[in-house]
Amino acid sequence: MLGDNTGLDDTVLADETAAAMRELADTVTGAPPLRLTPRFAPAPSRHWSRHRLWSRWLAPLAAAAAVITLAITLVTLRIIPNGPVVPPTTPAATSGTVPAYYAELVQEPGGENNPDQIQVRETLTGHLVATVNPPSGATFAGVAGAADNRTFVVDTQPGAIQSPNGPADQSVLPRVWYLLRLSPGSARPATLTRLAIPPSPLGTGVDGIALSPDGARLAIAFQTPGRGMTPGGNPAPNGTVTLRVYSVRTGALLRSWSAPPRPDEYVFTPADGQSDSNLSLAWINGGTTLAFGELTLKPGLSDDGALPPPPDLKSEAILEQPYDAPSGATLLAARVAFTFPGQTAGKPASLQCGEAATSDLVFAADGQLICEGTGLSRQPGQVGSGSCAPGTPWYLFGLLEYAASAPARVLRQYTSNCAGQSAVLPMWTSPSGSTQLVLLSRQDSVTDRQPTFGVVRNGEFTALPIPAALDTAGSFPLSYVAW
Amino acid sequence: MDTLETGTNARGCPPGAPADDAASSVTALYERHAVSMIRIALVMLGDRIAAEDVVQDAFFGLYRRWARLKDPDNALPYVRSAVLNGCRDVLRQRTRREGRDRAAATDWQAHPSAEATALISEDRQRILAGIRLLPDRQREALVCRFYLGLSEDETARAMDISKGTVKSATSRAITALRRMLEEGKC
Repeated sequence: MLGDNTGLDDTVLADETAAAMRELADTVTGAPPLRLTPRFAPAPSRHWSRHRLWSRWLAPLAAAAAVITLAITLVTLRIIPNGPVVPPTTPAATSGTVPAYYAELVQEPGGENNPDQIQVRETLTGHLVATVNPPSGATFAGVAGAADNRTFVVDTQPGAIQSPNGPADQSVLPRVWYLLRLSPGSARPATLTRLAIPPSPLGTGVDGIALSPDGARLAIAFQTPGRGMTPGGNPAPNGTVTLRVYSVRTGALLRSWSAPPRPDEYVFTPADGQSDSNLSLAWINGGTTLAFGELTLKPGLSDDGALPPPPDLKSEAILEQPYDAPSGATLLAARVAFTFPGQTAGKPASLQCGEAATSDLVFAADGQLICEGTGLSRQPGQVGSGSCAPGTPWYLFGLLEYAASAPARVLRQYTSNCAGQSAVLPMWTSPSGSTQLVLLSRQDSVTDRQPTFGVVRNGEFTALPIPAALDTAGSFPLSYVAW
Repeated sequence: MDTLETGTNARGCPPGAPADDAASSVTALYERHAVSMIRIALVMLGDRIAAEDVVQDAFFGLYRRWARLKDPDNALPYVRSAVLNGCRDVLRQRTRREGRDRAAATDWQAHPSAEATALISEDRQRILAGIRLLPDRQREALVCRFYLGLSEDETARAMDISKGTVKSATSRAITALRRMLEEGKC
């Protein structure tokens, strides 16, 4: 069925996927005896029930806390200079091209269920500048940076682990917002300060975050789908998405726009499924506009019984919402800046962006979109699937620049042979669009899966130490890192 | 296909029957549904041992909370939700481990179990390998939609995400799976 690899019909693929799952499941014919004792003794400080109990009181506490925090504006909670102090990086040390530092979410060592830390490292060397632990009872959930490379906003959620007693989706846990300021070379290289931005309520998902270039405004994409929090709850309607902009200094709500539920159009869709993504929402044009992705699915393909065909992706678009648009306007009236075709029968002969373009939003100063493109260099039927002929390239991938009124420009192009999980994913670009930081996964054989991280400049890739958050196989949590 | 049963309460007793003690009730529920739950976890995780552990934990969690369970009919939905949550925990921890132990991650992704190798056709092993390379949410959406046969509404409730996210995750998963198959990535 899959031998020729060409023109796989979605319905056939869905049926085959279901059949493959059933075949795997059918290998289970028995179960071991039930043990009514815990497999592992829970760590007292990380016990979920404590977080759950706390979360039940969160709403009234959050309301009170919001009043207090508004009154005192910014209250420094913690100053944690427990990383090594390094000399301040000079402009020369950055080669004048890439930001000197990044902040990443890294799991605290010592246990798989420990909360995430923020680690600040030098981009060029990977040297640790500072480690910031989350407030007690919380774990970091997201991070976004301003243009000065010293100002970041991070958010936390309660607890460190998921639990059968907790909501299935961690994206709906309440978020609390903090300012992370870097002062490399000082006695306090990183300080964490709670912001007066109201905590998000339990049950509201955070789909995207973006800090304005000047660090003064934080844009947050919320999704409030009105879903039940317990198994067997009421049917969930399509979600309402709200994009809000807050003042970082005062916590005041500056703008609020919404996209009402629509059956076949969706906005803010991180491809990696991660909440709190710093790549699904972007400030562009000097902080005057917000950009986000929109998916349009072909209608009429849902809820028609068991094993329906999956909804086809009709098109993807990147929308631009001017910041000066008044609050209350619908997000779906935002200007369409870029459109990409949805599912097509075959790959284009040349590089084109599309599949990740709406969820990995990296823009240069003049609104040029930097995205990953794919294309075919040989028809797949010419190379047997799985036979992996080394040195036989047959598909292209690379980095492209799209401008609103100019043809796409190839910044870097690769070819890959048949056994590749290859990708070059942009994570940051210089304002001019001449330099990018990317995650490169170039798999030319079954065993070569190691991603690399580095700089693309003048068409050349130069490897740098890879951030720990990205050093994974299979999935790439791009939004765990911010510049 | 494993679907939730209706018409009897979750312990397999007629509705309204007096509650048994927690151990016997949960054990009875386990004996009746453990295999189907392990199957769900196996499809999610691709690892039989981890699947069994997740199911054990889910039933143990139910046992600990049995006294607070107001409606025994909710026990099975609770367990299934706990199994899905447990799978998410394992996948999240696995992603973390991958950063520290690439060899283990590669083993998990590249090599199916002996049982799977023996019993599952090569084409479908490729599909399963592709499913394991999907982001967690996309993989879970496929399991809910195509293995459990849940509707989009039911999947949204099971995953505690919006129906729109279910649609986009499913669409992206199929697109990615087809791409991997076409390009020989799995």
